[in-house]
Amino acid sequence: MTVGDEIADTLIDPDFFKSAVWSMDKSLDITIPITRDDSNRGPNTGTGANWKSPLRKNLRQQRLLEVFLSKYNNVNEYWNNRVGFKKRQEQLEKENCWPAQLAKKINYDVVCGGETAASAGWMFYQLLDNINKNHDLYIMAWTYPTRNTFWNSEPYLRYSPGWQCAHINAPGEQTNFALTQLFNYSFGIHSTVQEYVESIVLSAELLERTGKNWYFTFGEIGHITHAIEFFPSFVDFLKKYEHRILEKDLFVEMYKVTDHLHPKAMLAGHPRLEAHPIIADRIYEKIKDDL
Amino acid sequence: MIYKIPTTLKEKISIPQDATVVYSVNNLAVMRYEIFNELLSNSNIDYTIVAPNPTTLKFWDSRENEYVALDAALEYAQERLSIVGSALYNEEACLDEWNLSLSTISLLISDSSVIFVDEDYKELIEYKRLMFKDNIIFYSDVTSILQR
Repeated sequence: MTVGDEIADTLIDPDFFKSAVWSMDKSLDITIPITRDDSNRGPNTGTGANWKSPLRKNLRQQRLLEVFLSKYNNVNEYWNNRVGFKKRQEQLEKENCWPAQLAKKINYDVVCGGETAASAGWMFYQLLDNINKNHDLYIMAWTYPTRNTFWNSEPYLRYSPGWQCAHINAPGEQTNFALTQLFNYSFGIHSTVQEYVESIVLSAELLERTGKNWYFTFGEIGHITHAIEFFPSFVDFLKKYEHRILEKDLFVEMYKVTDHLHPKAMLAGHPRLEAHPIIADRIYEKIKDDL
Repeated sequence: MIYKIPTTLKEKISIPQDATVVYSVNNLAVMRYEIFNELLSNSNIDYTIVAPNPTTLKFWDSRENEYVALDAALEYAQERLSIVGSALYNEEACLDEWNLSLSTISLLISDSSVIFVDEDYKELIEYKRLMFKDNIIFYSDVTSILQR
């Protein structure tokens, strides 16, 4: 589980959203031009998944630069601060994300295994590492089906060697030639959706057959419909475990309750921090009688 | 009963004449993927599985549109996948994927199903870390194991 860039921004500057950069033209929030990544796809659902707001993104970059210039005299100082800041950001995310808040409500200790930009395959492997720990409750919040899992032998940014995730649209993030080759040869929507559906189905069956108390949430209904295009039998799976699925459109629901901008003008593809207690309440109401 | 046999054992292994045999890519994660596909439509299939050796990684070949077993030591990897293979292939990765897949299959297959594993690899199974059911049988003679 991640809360994305929102915490990052406010940690850099608590008044981040109060900056003159943001308020210089409030009409931008509703008149922002929208570009689509893929014009062949269906109508926009306002989720931010397929929509970008270049103007709003530029504003954010401008604001980050403004903060950077006001605080740091050189790049090294900025970078050192940034490393510490990332650790603090991860800590804050894990303390404040909806699983942590839900755990407080039901008086459980939370073991939040989320990771920024995790893939379904990576989540499945996390489950395998945790399934014999006999936790009281397992909730898996499935994310975008456009990510893959691969083994990287070299330390990569903050990751140690091991299973890592990558986004289908961002192979350029990879740092070495071999990984670029990997994505040239091995990456595609077929492989990511296959990994997505396989991970979901196997996780459900593992949790069920080992007698766990478990639930799933899905990021967007579009993820499910897309998966069904590849695996028609996935419909039967969803019906079979309907009672285990708490949310089918979680990200959209989170945007709805918090987005003070135009719903199409998302800064990033992640819900705001304020959404998390609301979602924790909502999920609590759905599972409280089963605990 | 479905017999899942690694392609590399096709010529070596003896199987019952009336068995439904699927010769699978020589990688346990690919077998795991096949089992997932079968689980989607029927969750009560009995299996007899011979686990491939833990020396390959599951790899999606986007040109062929299929999963392959990536082994940097083999001819396939020495051609166009050599760079990927040499960078990503290592013993730790292969063993981890093999263990994760073995655990998954062990937990998911029906009570009357079994997985045969070469006893040379007995010590490699991570019992302390992962969960397994009591359905793994170690063999030393691969040619006659399925005739017993």
